[in-house]
Amino acid sequence: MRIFLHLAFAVALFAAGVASESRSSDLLQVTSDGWYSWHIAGTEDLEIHALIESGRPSEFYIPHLHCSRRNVPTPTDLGTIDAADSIAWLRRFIRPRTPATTGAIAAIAVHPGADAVRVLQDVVRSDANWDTRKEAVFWLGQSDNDAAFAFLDALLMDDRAR
Amino acid sequence: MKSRTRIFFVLLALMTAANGWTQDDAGASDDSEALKLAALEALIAAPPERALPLATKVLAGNHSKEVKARALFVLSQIDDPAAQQQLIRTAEQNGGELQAEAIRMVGIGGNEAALARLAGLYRSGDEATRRAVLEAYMIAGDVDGVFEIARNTESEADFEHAVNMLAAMGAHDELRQLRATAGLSSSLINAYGISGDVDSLLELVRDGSNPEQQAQAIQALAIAGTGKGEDVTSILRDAYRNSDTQVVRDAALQGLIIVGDDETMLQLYRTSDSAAEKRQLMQALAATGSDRILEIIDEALAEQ
Repeated sequence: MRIFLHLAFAVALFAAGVASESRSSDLLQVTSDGWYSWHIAGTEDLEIHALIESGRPSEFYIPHLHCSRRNVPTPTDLGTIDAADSIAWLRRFIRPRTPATTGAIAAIAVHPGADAVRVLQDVVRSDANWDTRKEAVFWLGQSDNDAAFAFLDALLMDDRAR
Repeated sequence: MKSRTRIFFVLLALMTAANGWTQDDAGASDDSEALKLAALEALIAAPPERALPLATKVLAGNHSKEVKARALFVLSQIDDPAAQQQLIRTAEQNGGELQAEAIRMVGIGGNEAALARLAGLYRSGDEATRRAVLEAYMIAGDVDGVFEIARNTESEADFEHAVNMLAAMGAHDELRQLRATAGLSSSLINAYGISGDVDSLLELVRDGSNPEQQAQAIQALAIAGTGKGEDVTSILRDAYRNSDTQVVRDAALQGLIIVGDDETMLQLYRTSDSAAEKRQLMQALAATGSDRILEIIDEALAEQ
């Protein structure tokens, strides 16, 4: 009976995860290959651009991080999207590590608010890939967020290293 | 027997578990250390007001030397007097394990006020400190700092080290000034060669008053090359032909080997009347690995 309850709980969690992913995917209305862009709600000019190939992002472009405008094809504008939804969608492409992972982490990092910091912290704590964790640490250092620096402080003061 | 077997397996299980715990601890420790280094790398590009307190805290804490050295690097990249002050404080901790590293980081930071503070450290420091200060000046490209050390030191070794630094920095004027103030020395001639000061070397090559120094200048010239319209081969050939001093002739021949001028060596061989000299020139040709030595062998066989 106890085992059955555990299994049922696990299945429910899995189903919730799938549902959540579907919702994010639907939200971004990605139906075919090509460049897409969306504006993050509550920000003045923060946009994320993603090249979708076979239903997955293969490249990200964040104009906010570039001094000069890159020559990319005009994207399909997906409109304004809540930061939480944008982060939830981007988070799906962190693991397993692919060439798009670096861009996904950077894209998450530029989102304002605590959600992005929490995701990056989670990646640092639990991702299996060292490069991915290191990139998350880097982006925490680029935020001007108290929680991010408190986290870095805790990493630096971890006594297990000696 | 059964109970002994049970005890054996319990002990075995405990040992295995203990081994696993130890490995887990080591893994966590490595992980933690690596994350610290990654966090410090992140601080390099972080807002200075965020990075400074954390780097300072790491320096004051109980961390590995590598982690603290990385924190020093972070401080060197922060353009803030407080960061430079922290670097200098660490640099001034006599005998501190990070002293030399902090001094070098002052050089990397390149802050003029902090670099000026290193002069006092040089005067009072031990050999390792003095070397670190010179390196810091070289990293910062502070020719004046190195020149002042060379000009004021009473130690032959320190003078030579500073002169080598000036040579590496291409400080022609300062090296010439040192000749005027400290007199010509072997280390200065080498420095003229390393820095490519051909004018100073040509002057010494043409001055036969001190054959030892003339010979050293000839070799330095061969290493430096000329590049100002002067033909180094003809200078070496003339020095070989016209000098009565063996040490100068040997140096000129060494110079020809260095520049690999087999044609001149072959000419000198053919015009020489001395068997001993011919042997020496043949050995020099062989040292260059030139095929021209076959011509000499053919000629010798033809004469027989």
